[in-house]
Amino acid sequence: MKNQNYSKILKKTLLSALGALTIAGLGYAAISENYDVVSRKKGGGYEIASRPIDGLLARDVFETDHFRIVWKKEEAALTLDRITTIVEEEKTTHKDDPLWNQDRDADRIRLMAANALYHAELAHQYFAETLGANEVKNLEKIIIRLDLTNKYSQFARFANDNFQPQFNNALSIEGGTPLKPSPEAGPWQREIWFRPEKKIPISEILAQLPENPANSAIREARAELYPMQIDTAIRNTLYAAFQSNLGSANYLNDIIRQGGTFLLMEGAFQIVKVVDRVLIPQKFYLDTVMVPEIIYHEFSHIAMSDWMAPDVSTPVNEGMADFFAANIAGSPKLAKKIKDFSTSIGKNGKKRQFFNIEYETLAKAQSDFVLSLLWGLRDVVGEKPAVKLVFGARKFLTTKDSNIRTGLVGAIFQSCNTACEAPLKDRMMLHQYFMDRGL
Amino acid sequence: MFRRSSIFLTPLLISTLVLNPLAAATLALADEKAPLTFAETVRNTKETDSVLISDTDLQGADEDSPGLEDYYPSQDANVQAAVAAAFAAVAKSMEPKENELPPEACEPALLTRFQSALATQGLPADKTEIRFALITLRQKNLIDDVTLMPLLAAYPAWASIGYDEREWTRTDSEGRTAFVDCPTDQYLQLVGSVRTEFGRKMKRKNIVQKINTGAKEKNDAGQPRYLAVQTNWLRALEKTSYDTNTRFALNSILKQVADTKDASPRADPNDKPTKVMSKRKKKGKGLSNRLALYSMYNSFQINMLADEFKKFTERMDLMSADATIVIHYKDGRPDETIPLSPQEQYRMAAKLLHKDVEELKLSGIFAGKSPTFDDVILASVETGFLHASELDAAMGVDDVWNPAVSGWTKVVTIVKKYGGTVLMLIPNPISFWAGLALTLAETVITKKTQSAGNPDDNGISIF
Repeated sequence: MKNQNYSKILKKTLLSALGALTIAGLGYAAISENYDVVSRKKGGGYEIASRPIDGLLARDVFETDHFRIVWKKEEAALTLDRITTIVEEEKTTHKDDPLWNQDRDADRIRLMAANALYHAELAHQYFAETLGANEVKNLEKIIIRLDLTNKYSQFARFANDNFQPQFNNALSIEGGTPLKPSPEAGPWQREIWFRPEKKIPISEILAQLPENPANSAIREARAELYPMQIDTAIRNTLYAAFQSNLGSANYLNDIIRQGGTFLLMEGAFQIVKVVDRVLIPQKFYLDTVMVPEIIYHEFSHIAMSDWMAPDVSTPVNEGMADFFAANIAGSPKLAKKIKDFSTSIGKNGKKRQFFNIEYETLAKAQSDFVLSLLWGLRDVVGEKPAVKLVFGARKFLTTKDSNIRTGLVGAIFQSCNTACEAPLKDRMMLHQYFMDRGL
Repeated sequence: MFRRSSIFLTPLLISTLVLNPLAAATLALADEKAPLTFAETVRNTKETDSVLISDTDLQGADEDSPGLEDYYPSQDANVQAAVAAAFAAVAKSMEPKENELPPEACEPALLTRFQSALATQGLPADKTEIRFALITLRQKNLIDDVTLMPLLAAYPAWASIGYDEREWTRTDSEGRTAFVDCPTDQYLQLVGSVRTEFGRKMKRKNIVQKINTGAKEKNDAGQPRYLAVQTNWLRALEKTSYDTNTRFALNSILKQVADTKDASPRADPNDKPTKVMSKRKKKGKGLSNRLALYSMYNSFQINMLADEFKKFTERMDLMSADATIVIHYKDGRPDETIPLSPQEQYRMAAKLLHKDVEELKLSGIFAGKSPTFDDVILASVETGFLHASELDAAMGVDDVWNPAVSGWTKVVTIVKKYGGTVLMLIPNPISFWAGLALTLAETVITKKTQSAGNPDDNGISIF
C-alpha cells in the first residue's frame, strides 16, 4: 500500500517536473528581443532599424542555438552587462590610443553584437531552410568574435597580441588543436572573427600600391584618344602634301591647333590626377561587423567548410562566398552604399568582366570576377538552381588546389549532374555562358 | 509491280534482314522499341504549326460556299470526336494482320477509306468535303505535315476520278492476293526517270508522253502492262501536278518516318512540338524545316546526322569523357599528356562536330548533299535525341565556329572602316571634335559589345 502511494507521488512529481521543464523549454525557445541592426533599404542604402532576434538563449545575452557572440578572445557570450564593463575598460585601455574610435560606446558595441547575430542567423536560415542544406543544419555552434585584432595561428588559434594586429577585415577559421594543449588553450571549432575598424590615411595605402589606380585609367584614356588624333594629323598632312598645300596657312593652323589640343588634353589628365586625389576618401576604413554582406560572406565560408576549408583566400573560395552573400542579400552589389562603416568600393556582381589569367592569382582573391561569373549563372539555369549548383560544386573543390578555369568550371559541371533540372540543356547553356565570359 | 503478301516471302525477308548490316541494325532497334503503329507514325508530335494550311484553305471555293467550320465545326465536340473516330478506323485498317506485311499507305486508298469512315460516322463525306476533313485531322494533330502533304497533293486527282480498291487488287486461281502498286509512288518514279532523261529542260508534255508510251515500253521490256486504272491515275496525277505539289509518296515517306521519328532511346513521347520544325526553311521552296529534312535525306541519313550530335554531347560531357592531348616524342622520351579544361573539351567537341559534319559531304552516303549544322539539329529533334526544351541550347553550339555578330559590332566595324576617311573631308576645327566624338563613341560601343573574342587570342586556351 505504502509502495503504491510512493509510486503515485513519484509519478506526480515526475509529471510536474516534466511539465515545468516543458514550460521552461517553451519559454526558452520563445525568447525574442528587438535590437537595432543595420538593415538594407530597397534602393541599396541602409538604415539602423529595430529587428527581432529570435531564439536567444537568455534575455540580454547574444547567443542562440547556432551562434555565440563573444568579445575579443573571451569564450563567454556577450551580455548587455558585459558591454557596459567593456566600455569602461576600453576607455581606460585606449585612453592614449589614437586608433580608438571614440564613437564606440555601449550603444555601438550593442549594435555590433546584435548586427552580427541578426545577420548570421539570416545567413544560417538561408542555407538551412531556403537551400535545405543538412550540413549547415548540423553545424556546431559557431563563435563569432568581435573586435579581435590577433592574427590566426593554426598552432594556437590566437597569434601573439603584438604580432601584426589586424584591422578592417574579417575571417573565418577552421577548427583546430593547439600545438601545446593547456587548461587555458584547448581545441577550438570553426569561428568567425571580425576586426575593429581603423582609419588609415589613403596616402599610406597608395604608397603600398605598385601604381596609383588613377594613372592606369589615364593611360587607358590616352591609348584610346591619341592614336586617332595622330592618325588624323597624318592623313591631313598627306592630303595637304597631295594638294601641295603644306605651306598654306590653313594647314599650319590645323597642325598648330591639333598640337595645342594635345597639350590641353595632357594638362587635363594631370589635373584629373590631382582632382582624383582630392575627391577620393582621405581615410580608408571598414567596420566589417557592421556590413551585412560581409557577415553573410563569412558565414558562407563556414557553410562551405565541410569541403573547402577556410584556410586561405583564393579567387574561387572568396568568389563563391561572395556569391552566397549576394544571394542572401538579394543583390549582386556587396558592401556598397554604407559610407558610415566603410570607404571600400565594395563588389559588383553585375559587372561584365571577361576572364583574364590574372584572375587566377591569389592577389586577385578579392576581385569580383568570380562573383560576377557565378551571379550570371542565375540567368542561365535559374536563381534557385544556380545557388544549388554552386553549393553542390564545393564537393568537387579544394581551397588550395582549385582554380577558376579547370577547378570551378569543372566542379559546376559535376554539380550539374545532380543540381540541374535539365542536365543536357543546362550543360550546353553553361558551356556557352562560360565561353561568353572568356573562359 | 505486284506486291505479294504471301507467307513464303517471310524466310527471304528474314535472311535479307540478317545479311544486311543496316537492316540488322534496324532489327536490333526494333528489339528495344516496339515499332510505331500507323496512328503513331502519322500523328503530329514535332510541328507547332502547319505550313500547308492557310486561311483560304479553311474557306469554301467562293464566299457563298460553305467552309471548314460549316462542315466540321471546331467547337462541336461531337463532330470532332466523330472525325477522330473515323480516322481511328482508317488507322486501324492500316495495321498489319498476323503473318502479313502492313498494308500499303496509298493516298487514294486512304482517302477512299476515310471518306467511307466519315460516312459511317454520319459526317459530311462528299468528295468536296474530304479536303476539309483532312485539314481537320491536321488541326487536331492526328496527322502531321509529312502525311498531309501527299494526301493534299493526291486529293484533286482522287476527287476527279475516284479510287475503288477492288480495281487495284488481283486474286489468282490459287487464291493468292496481289495489290497493284500505289499510283503516286509509280508516278513519282516515272517523273524521276523523265527528269533524269531531260534534266532541267523537262516539260510537262514529256511526262504525258512517258505515261502514254509507258505501256508499250513495259510490254517491250516483258513487264506486265499498266492496267487501265493505273494509266488513268497517272494521267490524273499529271493533270493535277502532283509532282510539283510534293516529292513525297505517302507509303515511302511513312517508312522513312517510322525508321526515324523518335528512334533515339532518349526520345520522349510526350515532348512538345517545336516551332523550328514547322518554320519555313530559307530557300526551301516553301517547305518547313521538317518537310525539307525528309525531302533531302532518307531515314538512314537522318539517323546518321542525329548521331553526330549525340557524339558531340558524349565528347563534351565531363561525366562520360575526359579529353587529353598526347604528344608522342619519337626520340624515346615519355609521352606528354595535356589534359583539357572543361571549356577546351567543349570547344574541341564542337569543332569536331563541325569537322565531322563537313566531312559527311565527302562520304558516299551523302553524295551530292551538303548537310549543315542546322540539318544535324533538325535530325536530332526528329529522332527525339534532342528535346524541345534543349533546342535553343543546341542551336548555340555553332557559336564556337560561327559566332553571332551583334548590330553594335557591325556599327563599330563601319565606323572603324570609314570614320577616318570621312574625318579627312571635314575641315578643322570641326574635324578635331568630330574625331574626338568618334573615338569616344567607338570606345563606348566597343565596351558595350565586348566579347570573349577568339579563345585562342590570349594564348592560354588550346581550343
